[in-house]
Amino acid sequence: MATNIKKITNDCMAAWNSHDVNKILSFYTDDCFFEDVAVGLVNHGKKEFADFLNTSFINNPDIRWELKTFFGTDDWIGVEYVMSATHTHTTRSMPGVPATGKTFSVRGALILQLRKGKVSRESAYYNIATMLQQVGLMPAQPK
Amino acid sequence: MAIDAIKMANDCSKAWNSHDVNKIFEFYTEDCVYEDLGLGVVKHGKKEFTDYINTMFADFPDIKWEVKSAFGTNDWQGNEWIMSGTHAHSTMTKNAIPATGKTFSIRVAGIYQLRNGKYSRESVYYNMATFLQQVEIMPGQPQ
Repeated sequence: MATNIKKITNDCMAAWNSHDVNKILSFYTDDCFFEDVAVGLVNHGKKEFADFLNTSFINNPDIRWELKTFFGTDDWIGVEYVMSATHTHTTRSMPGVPATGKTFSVRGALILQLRKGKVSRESAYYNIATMLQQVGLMPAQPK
Repeated sequence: MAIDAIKMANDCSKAWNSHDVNKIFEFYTEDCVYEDLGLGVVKHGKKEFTDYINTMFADFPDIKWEVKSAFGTNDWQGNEWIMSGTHAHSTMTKNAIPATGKTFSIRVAGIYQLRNGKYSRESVYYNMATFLQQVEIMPGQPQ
């Protein structure tokens, strides 16, 4: 049966936005590989991934994702999204930086690989420099 | 006829690696939109796009791309690649990011929309902070 890309993408993003870790994990294979390419962080398997998600939601209590575009095949999905949050805690993406209380909203791309309708690999690409600029920790680049 | 995403990605990156702007532009529609989310730059159409990449090749004389993955449909493609080179000059950013003569190698995701077998939109996602750390403009993240 063909992969229902629209359903997987929408439902998976809704799960991320619910901050319900078990709901999120239900979209991934047991041996899933998740990487945040911007931070340089890699998780292998559901245990590591669940720990990562729990920490992320503690550090980013209002983090949310808005789906902008998606497409794919039976084995691959590409996604563009906007990730927004308030910088209320020191986070992995801006390590050693005290919380500024400012909000950021950055565009990102996801590359997903699928096995039997579940995500076996997810790689997230976004620009931390944009986040640092938005929370006032880095000068904006001249146009 | 279905587009072979892997072949197209490899052929296109070969054109980019040749630094031959005309060869590169054969893969794009006349009205293409090219955006670099790392730099926050958007270029519209052939003139802006080719001027931009000529400047890029002047600033990064040895810049090259290595395709790591590619997939898609006739209308959309997603690619991952490694972009590497030496930051020799700083024309593109008007010295906002000074050229240190250091090398970089960063992971990038490209999201493409296609029209009649050519790219009508390319959006390139990567972490500018990683680039700035590698060329030693920004302190490295603690591991």
